Amino acid sequence: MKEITYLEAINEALFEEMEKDERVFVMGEDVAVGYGGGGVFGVTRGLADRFGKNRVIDTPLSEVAICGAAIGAALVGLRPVAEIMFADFLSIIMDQLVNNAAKMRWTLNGEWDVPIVYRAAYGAGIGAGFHHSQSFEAWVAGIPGLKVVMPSDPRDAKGLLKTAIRDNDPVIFLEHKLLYKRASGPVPKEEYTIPLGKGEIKRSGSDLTIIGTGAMVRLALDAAEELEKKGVSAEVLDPRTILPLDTELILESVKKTGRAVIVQESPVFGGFGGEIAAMLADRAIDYLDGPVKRVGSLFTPIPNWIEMEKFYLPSVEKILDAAGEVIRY
Amino acid sequence: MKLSHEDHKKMLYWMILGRRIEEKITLLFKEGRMRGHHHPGVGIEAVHVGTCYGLGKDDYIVPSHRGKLPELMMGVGLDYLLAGYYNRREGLGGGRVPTGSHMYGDMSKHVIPGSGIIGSLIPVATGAGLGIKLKKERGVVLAFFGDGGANRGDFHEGLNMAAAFKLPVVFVLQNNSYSISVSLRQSTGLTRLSKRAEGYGMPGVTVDGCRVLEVYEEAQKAIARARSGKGPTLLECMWHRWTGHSISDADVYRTDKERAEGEKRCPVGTFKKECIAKKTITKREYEEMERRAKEEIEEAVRYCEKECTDPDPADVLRGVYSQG
Repeated sequence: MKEITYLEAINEALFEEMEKDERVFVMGEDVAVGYGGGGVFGVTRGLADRFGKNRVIDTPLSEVAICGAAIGAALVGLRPVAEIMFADFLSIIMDQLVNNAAKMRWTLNGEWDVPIVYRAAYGAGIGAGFHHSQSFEAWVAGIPGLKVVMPSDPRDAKGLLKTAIRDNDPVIFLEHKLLYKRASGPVPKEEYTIPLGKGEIKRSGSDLTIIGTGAMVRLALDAAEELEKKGVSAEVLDPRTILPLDTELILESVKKTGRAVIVQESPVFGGFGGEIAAMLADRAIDYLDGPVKRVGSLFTPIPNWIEMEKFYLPSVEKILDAAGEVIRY
Repeated sequence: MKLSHEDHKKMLYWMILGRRIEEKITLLFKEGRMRGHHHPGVGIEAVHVGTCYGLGKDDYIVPSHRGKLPELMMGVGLDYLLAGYYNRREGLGGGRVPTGSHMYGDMSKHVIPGSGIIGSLIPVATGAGLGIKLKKERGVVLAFFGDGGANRGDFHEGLNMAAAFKLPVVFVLQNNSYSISVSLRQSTGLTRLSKRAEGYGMPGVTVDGCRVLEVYEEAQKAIARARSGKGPTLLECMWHRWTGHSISDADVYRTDKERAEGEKRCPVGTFKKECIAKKTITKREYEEMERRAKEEIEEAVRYCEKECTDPDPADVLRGVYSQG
């Protein structure tokens, strides 16, 4: 094992997969140099030096063209990793994603691969404001044909990205920008991958299951620590990919604990937590000892003043409040 | 490529076949034998034959929703294509894709599925060109769309990137001066859309899209340019749409005079007359071509209606993902 950051983990995955398969190439805005040495955050640092400008392609500021061009390149046999600098820009490329990328395989009678990874930095917490902080995972998770990955730590980020690049379907790979340099953790030195659609118990517990992805996992773990002090044993479950979703792991955990709190960074209404809650209502109702609670952001644009952003976002306190309600029910 | 009499004959046959297919499909819809959308491509034959004639196995096309000739000329079988229209299991897409040419594709023949979202495939064509360039292959991509599609943002982003990267793409703007009912005059301040090419740093040419040899000549220049690594061209082909936008469109917004003027430019009739005048073919040979086209189409219709089978409704589940 070695200790690296979330950003370094993603960078390593790109390096290794580009080394392994010459069909893999990276394209996007500022990916060759940027102001992070490769990308605006530095995720693609060093790739252009190693693989050259033909495989690390700086594009015009044209998200629709980036998204569409990745589809065309994939159809003629390459394996593009397209960077959408901020996940907020998924709003710009929805037509290409939804109407083209997601439907190509089906339209071609299931006979042609569409291997694309769309990497995008999402999430709030750094005061980047409402055009550079949003969480749109629920939008794309509602589209048959796409896959949606939201890693919460370096090990998962690396293993899942490697799998996403080898996958033959379009994958939306959502990287939480708050985690890039703030999250570090152990990563195996040897080659490994993590399958899409397999969640992981990040902390075992018996009284309550807290479900979250991305930056919400850290909050859930911190909340679990607090609950421990009060004598409540909380399990933290990270589905890691929301499409496909590891429903079996969620059911198994909630049937064991009898209680569920779902934490998501998007506003509660219309978010992906509703899908999990509905699934639990449908398939685990007899096991529930209290209401399924959702913790999410407020139904407002994302503010950038730090105190207001904290007020807006899910927090350990908000998770504890929700957990208390479920436990006291 | 210098065209021989044999080439002219082949081109004329494609044009006749294209015309008769469009007429037949329209009839099949009116008779209730087909359902869904149909956007007749009557009048567009010279654009398609002029651009696609001579494409090789390395080349790709991104079709628009109008006309079947580009797909057929890339090698998609008429029976296979038509069976798709009929929602037959044996047809293109397994009988599941929308009728009309929305999202019809066959990658084994290098036909990238078209889109029901007008102009949306322009950036995808750019990407296919990027892929070809990165793989150092010699192919060229022909992207078909109309004057309506040229007003989408996708046109701007797709052409700009293709020019910036000098990609092997020919953007074929099939201009019939109407986006359904809204005229070009009302949609843009330009009269020649090919002028937009200059803004992207690529050549832009406007040709009479009703004259197949003119289209061919300019298309060949654009294809040669793309193949030699010099980058894309915007090829605007002016043609007249003989019908409404789709079979649901009664075409109340154009005058009889306008229609009559347009139909005087009939691409099939014009080329046929030229071929007869130049003695490339005899009148009898022309009649023989008409007979062959009819036979080919009737045989495909018979195959679809008599031999093909319905897909299983549960086929909808197949192929959403690589694993399922």
